[in-house]
Amino acid sequence: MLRSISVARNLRNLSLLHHNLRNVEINRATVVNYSGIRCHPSVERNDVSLSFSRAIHFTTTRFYDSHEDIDKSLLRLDQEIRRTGRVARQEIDELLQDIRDTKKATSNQSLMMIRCCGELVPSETAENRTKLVNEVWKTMQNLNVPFDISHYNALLRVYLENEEKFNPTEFLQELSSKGLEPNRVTYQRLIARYCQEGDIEGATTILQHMKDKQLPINEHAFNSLVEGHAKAGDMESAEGMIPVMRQAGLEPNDDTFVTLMCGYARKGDMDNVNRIVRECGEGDVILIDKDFMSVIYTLVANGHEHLVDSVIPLLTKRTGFNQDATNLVLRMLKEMSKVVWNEEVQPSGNFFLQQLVRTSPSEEIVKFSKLMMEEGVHSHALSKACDIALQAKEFDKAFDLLEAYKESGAPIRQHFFWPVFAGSKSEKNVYNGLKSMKYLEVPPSMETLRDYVIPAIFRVSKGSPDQILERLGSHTGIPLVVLVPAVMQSLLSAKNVEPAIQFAQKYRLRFSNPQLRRAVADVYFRDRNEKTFVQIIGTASLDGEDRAREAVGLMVMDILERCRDKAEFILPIFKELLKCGIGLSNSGAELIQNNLGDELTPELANVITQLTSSDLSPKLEMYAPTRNQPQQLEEKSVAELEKMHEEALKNGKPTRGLKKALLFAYCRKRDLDKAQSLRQELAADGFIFPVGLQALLLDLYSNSNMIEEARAMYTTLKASLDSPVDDIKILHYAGLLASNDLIDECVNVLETTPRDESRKPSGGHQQIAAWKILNSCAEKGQVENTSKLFQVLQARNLMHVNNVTLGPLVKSYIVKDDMEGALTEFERCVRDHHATPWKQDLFCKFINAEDTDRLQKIIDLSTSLHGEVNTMYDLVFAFIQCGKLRQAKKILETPGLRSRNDKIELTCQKYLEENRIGELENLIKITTDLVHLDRHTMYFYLLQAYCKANDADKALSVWTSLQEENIQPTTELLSFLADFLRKNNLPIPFAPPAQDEEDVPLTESSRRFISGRGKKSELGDEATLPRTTNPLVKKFRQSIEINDIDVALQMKQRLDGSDSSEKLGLQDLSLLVEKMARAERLGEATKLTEEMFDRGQHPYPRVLRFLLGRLASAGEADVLDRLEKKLTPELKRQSMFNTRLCVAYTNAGKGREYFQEHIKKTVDGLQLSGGDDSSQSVPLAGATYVLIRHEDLLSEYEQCAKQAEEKENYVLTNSLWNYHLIKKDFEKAKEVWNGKLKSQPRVMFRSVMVEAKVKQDLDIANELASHIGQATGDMSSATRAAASGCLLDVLCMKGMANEAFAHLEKSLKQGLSLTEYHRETLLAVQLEMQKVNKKFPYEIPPPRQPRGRRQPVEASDSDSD
Amino acid sequence: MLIHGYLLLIKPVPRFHSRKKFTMSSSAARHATRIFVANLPWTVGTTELRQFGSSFGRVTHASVVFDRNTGLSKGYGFLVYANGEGGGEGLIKPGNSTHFLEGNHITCTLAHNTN
Repeated sequence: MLRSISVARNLRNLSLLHHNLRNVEINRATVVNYSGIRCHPSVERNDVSLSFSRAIHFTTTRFYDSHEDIDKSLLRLDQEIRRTGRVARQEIDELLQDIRDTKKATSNQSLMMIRCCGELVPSETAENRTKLVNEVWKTMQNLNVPFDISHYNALLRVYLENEEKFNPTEFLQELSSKGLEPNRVTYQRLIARYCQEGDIEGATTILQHMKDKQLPINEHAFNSLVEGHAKAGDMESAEGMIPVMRQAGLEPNDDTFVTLMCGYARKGDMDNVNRIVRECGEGDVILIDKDFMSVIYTLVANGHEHLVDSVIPLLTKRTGFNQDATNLVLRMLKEMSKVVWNEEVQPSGNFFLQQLVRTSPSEEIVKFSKLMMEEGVHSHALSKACDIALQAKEFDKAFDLLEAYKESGAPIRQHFFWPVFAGSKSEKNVYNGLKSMKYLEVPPSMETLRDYVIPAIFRVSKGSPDQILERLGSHTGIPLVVLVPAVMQSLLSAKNVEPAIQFAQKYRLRFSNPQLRRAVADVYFRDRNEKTFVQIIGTASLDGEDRAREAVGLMVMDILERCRDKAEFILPIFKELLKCGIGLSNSGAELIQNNLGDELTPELANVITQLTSSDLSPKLEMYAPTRNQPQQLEEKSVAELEKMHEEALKNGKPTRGLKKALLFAYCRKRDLDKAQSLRQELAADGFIFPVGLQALLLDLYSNSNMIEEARAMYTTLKASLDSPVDDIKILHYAGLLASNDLIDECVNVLETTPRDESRKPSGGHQQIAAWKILNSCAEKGQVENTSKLFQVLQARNLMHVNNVTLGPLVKSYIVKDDMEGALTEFERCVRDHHATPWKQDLFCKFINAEDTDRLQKIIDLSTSLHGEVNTMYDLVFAFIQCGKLRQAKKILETPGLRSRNDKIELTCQKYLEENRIGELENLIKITTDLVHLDRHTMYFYLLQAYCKANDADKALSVWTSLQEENIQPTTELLSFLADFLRKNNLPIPFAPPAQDEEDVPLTESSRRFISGRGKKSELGDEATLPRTTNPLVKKFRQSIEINDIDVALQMKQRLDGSDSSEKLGLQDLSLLVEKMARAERLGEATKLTEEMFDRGQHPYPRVLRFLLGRLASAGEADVLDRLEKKLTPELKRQSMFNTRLCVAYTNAGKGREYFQEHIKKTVDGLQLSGGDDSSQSVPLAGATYVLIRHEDLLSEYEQCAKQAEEKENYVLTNSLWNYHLIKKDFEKAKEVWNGKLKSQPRVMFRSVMVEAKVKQDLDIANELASHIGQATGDMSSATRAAASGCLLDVLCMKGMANEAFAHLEKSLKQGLSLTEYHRETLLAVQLEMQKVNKKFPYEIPPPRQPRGRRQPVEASDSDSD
Repeated sequence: MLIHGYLLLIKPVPRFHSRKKFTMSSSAARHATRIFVANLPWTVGTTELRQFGSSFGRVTHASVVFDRNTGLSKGYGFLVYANGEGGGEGLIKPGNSTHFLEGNHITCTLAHNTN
């Protein structure tokens, strides 16, 4: 109540304020200039803008000298726009200067720059903004940036926003002179331009244009017309537009009515305003507070302040209102009288910040803090906000604020996080704090760890020191070297001496660490207990006597340096040391004696002498023994074991142990055949299977659906069971039984198998297994069985009760179409388990059945658990799913409904994956006016969906829609669209972003890591992974590292399913594809790759090449055909697609098809001059490969080759020659060679060389060398040397040193030089000659630099590896 | 007088109680200039205070007092300057005892002799 009154008062103030604002317009510019000062306080205040921009500029030219940097600046700008809706003029100026300096700008960058010259710079006057945009435009034009229609549309919008008077006819003329076709958006904006002036006539001409071009006229155009009439003062005509709209089949929206209301407000006609408000209420048009704010603004702007009060009651004061009202409060704050002290303006508005932190989400706090700083209200608003959040223990907000604080250039310090740890209530809080520190790049210092982190964990957690240490290490990645002393110090200062000693035993302290020594000494001074003191030092002796002596020296010195009556402190220690057999090093003793000086008593001297004696040896009895475990056979891989087993067999060593280990390994790898045969072998040998192995076999049989074997194994297992079985194995077996309808047996197994009851169900595996059991019953509609099994599973604590496991309960009713039962069950789930299984399906069922009572019930239940916002969104999606858009839209228009972009994105993703384009389109449709939702992301998903459906027109329409809504497309989106159009051989109406731009994707998730990411190398695979704090991502990477594909896939699934913003990166996915391909899991690898393509990504070319290679050797020609459509020509080249395809066809036994489909067609399509485009040409190695496999094609092939020859393409001829050489048909080879080939500069023969070398076939090598030797064309000497080298290699292999040398001599005489040969070849010749006691007379050239130019032979033939 | 960046400098809070008992309470300590700094902004930690103090002489010890239970800065701290070098005098000059640090006006006064 109180607040609303104050808001009302503020609103009244606004009217007065507005007058001031109009007068201070010019002052604003100066304010902005001043605003820079705070970022660079080092600049003197006197010469304000000049030196400031210089200072900035000095840094920017240094750092933003490349494209990518400009991209980053633009990205920052974009983020700022999204966050605050405004940009500082300076930033635009800087960027423009950078672009001028680098003389480069991409099309998309230009678009962004143009957009930034309108209302986004509210601090500038309209004239200045127009000047700015013209400047930007000119600069871009001078740089020859390709402009497309989207640029002109953006320019139009800026003109509109600046109310710039321009001539639409001239504008259209310029467009046509540039050869650009105006689109719907262009015309709409031109109409708006006329209407701004109240020029209906002008607007009508444009409308006529649109009609002529058959362009659709939508709400935008009509709303402009309403405004036009209103501006012209003709309210009657303005109102008249509404029936016209309706006639055209368009429903006037809230914008229409607001425009109307503003028209009346301009005249001060409150009656009509009220009437429209009433009509809207009746007509289901929802007006939001912002709309009323516009009315208020118009009233005030036109001198009707006294009428504002009558609008205020209309405000609904929902959540959104607060934010808008806050905006007003902020403007008020600016006007507060400044407190000046010591000539410094003191910050004001702390109370406002307090309130903000307490009530608002982080983005809001950041937004307003920044505004306050920008407007000079509070110079340290953001810092203050962080402070307030920390004091208020709003740590999650504090993390966000600190992130923003850091972004603003402020240093983040250790102690900022201390309150977080001190205030932690759970271990999770502590880890969140650590996560945030890591994210903000302030790794916790020793001080932070010792004084805050570790004490906090000890306080909130029950674990033992080493458990805590382990968890801390695995959560944070902080090395033990750092953690161990910190934990130790923390234990010691908390007086936990006993645990400290145990801890020290386990983890060994390094007494070279002075802080640690200080802590240990502190304890001694505190407790004066020499026993514990020596016990702590003594742990060093576990690493050897010398270590202990060293540690003692260091520790004693520390004690001595810190006390006065030295002897008094030191003597008990020495005595205790002697007792424990721990000595001193000689040098240590000397130092101690020196330090003692005159305080050295005879007694002390005596003890020191004893201590330095080498007779002493530490008595370790005081510590519990520690064990070292040898490496178990179980830890070795199958391959290792198999090898060991084989060797053992060969050497007649005992193999039983190995066999057992091997059987374990087979079971784990689910290699049924090998496991079965080994099991039988062992059984025949009278081997008694241990319980563990039985359990593993049971699991293997359960998973292989072998019910008899499984049952037999279970029976034996249960009989011999004394310890509990792994839950997952019980579940797998039970699942097998359930799926075979053996419900009672299944229940029995679940009930009676002994298990460790204290264990909690864990892991996704277990959950899936439990779900499978339940689902198999639910699918058959067996309500009772499902519930019986559920109860057993729950009672025996075999699964977590959650949406997944509860789902089958509800499902079992739905399958039977028993909706009442389903609802009752659902209600029970909500009540008993706080879960809402199958909610979405129930929503849809009841929506479709128009069963509002039950629907309401579900809504209420869901709201009670998930809150209103979540439920509303789910309901929206359900309405969309059922095609009830009006209802969906109405919910979304609920005033003040919080925007949940994450939820929307997740849904979009789902729509895309499930090809639900219609629903995606509808979602976009109904969110049109909801600016707070991230529409770019939705559009991007829509674009991907269209591309997936191969609908080029619709894909392109996304681009137009983006212009219409003034959404900046990201480079990612543009390249995706460009690639798609290119693939479909369609013209691209904009300048597609260059390849290297794609490396900076602009999705929300990757944005966060952009700064931490280096530029990728060409293949990118060795680029460092973006750092992650997400445990799933971490686990994923770990499992990739250890080749555990299943776990990696699970993690991926969970990540895809979670609403975490963090997804797997390109590198993660590439690695996964590679690992799967290596494991011959080609289907999954292909699927993932296709998914990636659908998302506009692709695995690294290296990985792709590898995958394609594997697919090819497996003969998966169909898969390759499918993939082909998705590959860009560049990717095809990089992945050697054509060769792969050829091999795949051949291996699939479809060589003939390949020949017909690809080779022949290519030859037919060859152009006389062209044929150089590698994507079109026939791969040589592949062609030869086909020919060798399908000799029957020879005559056709020859014909084809002739045909190609006529078109000056000799690839086929070349491969024919290769073929004959390989087949040793030298006559024919010669014939082909002497044809056209001989005179060609570029001839390839790698496969021939391989054949010659592999078979050590001297004939082939000789023939090849002689052919090449006779080449008449302009053949490179490297090619010649390759042929000659091949002969040398073969000669060497055959041990024909003399012949080899003779050939080399001859070749050298013919002009080849040693450097052209492979070094290895020459070395081989040298070696062979040495064998026959001859000296190799040449000096072998040093190895080639790897960076040197590659030889043509390798380059041209790299296709064949 | 802004302190840029931060430096990972570990300087454990000394245990005065143990020192008092066991260190040679040197005659030096008696002459060292110990300055009480108040109204520190929350962003300033020991490292930053030391850096700030260093422009007024050689700092032998600096500390910002934190509340171990809340982890929050208490907003004051101490600077100790090496004896006999006149360090820190610039901080407490009469009429110039306030200074500007990270947005706050801080006040510096000669600390009471703890001995």
